[in-house]
Amino acid sequence: MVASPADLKDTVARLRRLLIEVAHRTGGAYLAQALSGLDLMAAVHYRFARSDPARPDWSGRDRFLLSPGHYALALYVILADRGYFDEDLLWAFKENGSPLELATHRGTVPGVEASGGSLGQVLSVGVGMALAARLRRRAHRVFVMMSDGEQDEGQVWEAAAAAAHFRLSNLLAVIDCNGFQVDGPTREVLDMEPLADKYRAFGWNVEECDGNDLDAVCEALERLCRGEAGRPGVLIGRTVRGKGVSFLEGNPAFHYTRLDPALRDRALEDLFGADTDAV
Amino acid sequence: MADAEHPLLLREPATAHGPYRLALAALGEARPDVVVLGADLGNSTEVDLFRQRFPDRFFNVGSAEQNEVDVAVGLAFEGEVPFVHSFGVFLTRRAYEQVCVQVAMHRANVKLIGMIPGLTSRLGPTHQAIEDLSLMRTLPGMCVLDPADATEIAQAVPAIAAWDGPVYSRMMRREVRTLFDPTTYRFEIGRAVPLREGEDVAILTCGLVLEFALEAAKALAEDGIEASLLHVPTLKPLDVDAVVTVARRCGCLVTVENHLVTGGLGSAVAEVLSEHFPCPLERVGLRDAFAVPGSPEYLFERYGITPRHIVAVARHAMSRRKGSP
Repeated sequence: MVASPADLKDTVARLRRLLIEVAHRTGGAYLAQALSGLDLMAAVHYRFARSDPARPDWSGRDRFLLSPGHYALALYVILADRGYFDEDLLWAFKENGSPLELATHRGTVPGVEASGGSLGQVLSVGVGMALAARLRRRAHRVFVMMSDGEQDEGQVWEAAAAAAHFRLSNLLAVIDCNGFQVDGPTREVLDMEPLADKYRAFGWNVEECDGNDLDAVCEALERLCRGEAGRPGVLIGRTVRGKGVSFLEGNPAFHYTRLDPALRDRALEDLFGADTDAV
Repeated sequence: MADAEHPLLLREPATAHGPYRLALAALGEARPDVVVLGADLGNSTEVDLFRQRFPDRFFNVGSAEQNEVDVAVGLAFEGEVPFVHSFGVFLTRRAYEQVCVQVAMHRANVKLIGMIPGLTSRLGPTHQAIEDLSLMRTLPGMCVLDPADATEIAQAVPAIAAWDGPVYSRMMRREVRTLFDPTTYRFEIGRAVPLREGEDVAILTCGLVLEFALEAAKALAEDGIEASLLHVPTLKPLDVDAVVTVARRCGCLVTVENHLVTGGLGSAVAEVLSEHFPCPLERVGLRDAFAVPGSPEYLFERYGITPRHIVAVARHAMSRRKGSP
């Protein structure tokens, strides 16, 4: 775990550079999504989830489940950085036969605990894991990362109702709300707002903040961890799709992103200034 | 050999009440790692006794089968052995994608118990699981069972728990026939059970229509036609050797199932025959139709799944055999 918020900022900057490089060198990725959700995922992984990369099967670890499998690359750079597997694997991202696939699949590399290619299912899996933890009196927590687009799926709300019904305070969800889904802005495709009110109505502790502001995210997660007893918690992170890269931010043309050398340089310049070798 | 004399069969068929209910509660005692999920159908799926005895290990998720299946997957990932309950239609139709990509794809140790098989529901086509075996059989790695009677149910439940991987089993509730003698019969997943060894025609069955097939074989014998009878409670993994053995012996076959003739036992046997021993096959079951609502007796008669129909179809299969007049 990273000790301080300052360290976390350095770490996330390093990971953003890695995301750009992998997307550039491997022919493309769901980069805009990875950039929007990276801060939320990193905050959970580095600051809150108890885990040990040397013992990925440690029974006392906090579970981290990624529901929108398309965010795979963000999870892979975190796992590689933390030492779950060799960073060189990243350069084989989505090659035929590579364990690092375009969408995450449980069992491919250590640290990937769920398969999220089909949206809206993993919160249910998290409910099952949280029930098992409570049944066997284990103290670990279950974190489930979701996207805003997948809130359209009815099963998410079956799971949300069940989590509150079973009073699963060991279940914490994080939603990357970047405001876009495949066909366009979520408000135009299927407006699920006000999302916070919906989760409150379902019986959850709810926090909402700028999901790309690491300080705000960490404070919100702290509050959730101390939230009203007997309720699951959800952090609704308001994020910017493609965060930090001007031509990706809010641009629906980049559902899937290929970065030629010129775009890569522009992306790095956006993130780190003219001297792209810095950071 | 008359049926009543077969050492695996009771001399007189009897009726048991709620064999699954008792078997599940007994399993709860024997296996502390078994947990049970219900979807608002507690008494209707016979989980009530388990729930009374092991309330901590019972989870009712409400009438939300998609969530139910994936919650079970989460429990299985943590080492529990979840038994998931609903009517067969809801587990296989409504939660198909969950069963496919979370249960089957991960080979999760989840046991799906689909109550009220085929035409035995009174509620009409929304509740009649007529293609559940087909849907489940096509999923990679899924074990698929259709027990025939109370004896088989009692023995199948611990076998399902002991099986390493996902299982879909049809299940009967309330008044269930007892055909097999519990003192001699031994159910084993993947093993078909020969009950007659005649050479004129082979009848293969799964599920409760075994009783019809036994009657049909007896009627045929009275007319001098000796049938082989192979009971096939495991549709997958199929006992290929047993199927090929009766095919070689008789040269023509009839499958009988409480299901569409596509995708279930009839298709499974056709696949084996086409690869190993091509010969005439006739299939008794529902044919490309949803059934109307009605009593099981009425529906089996209406859709041609009775001993009388099996006898006629067996004669037709024999007439298609090479060298038949």
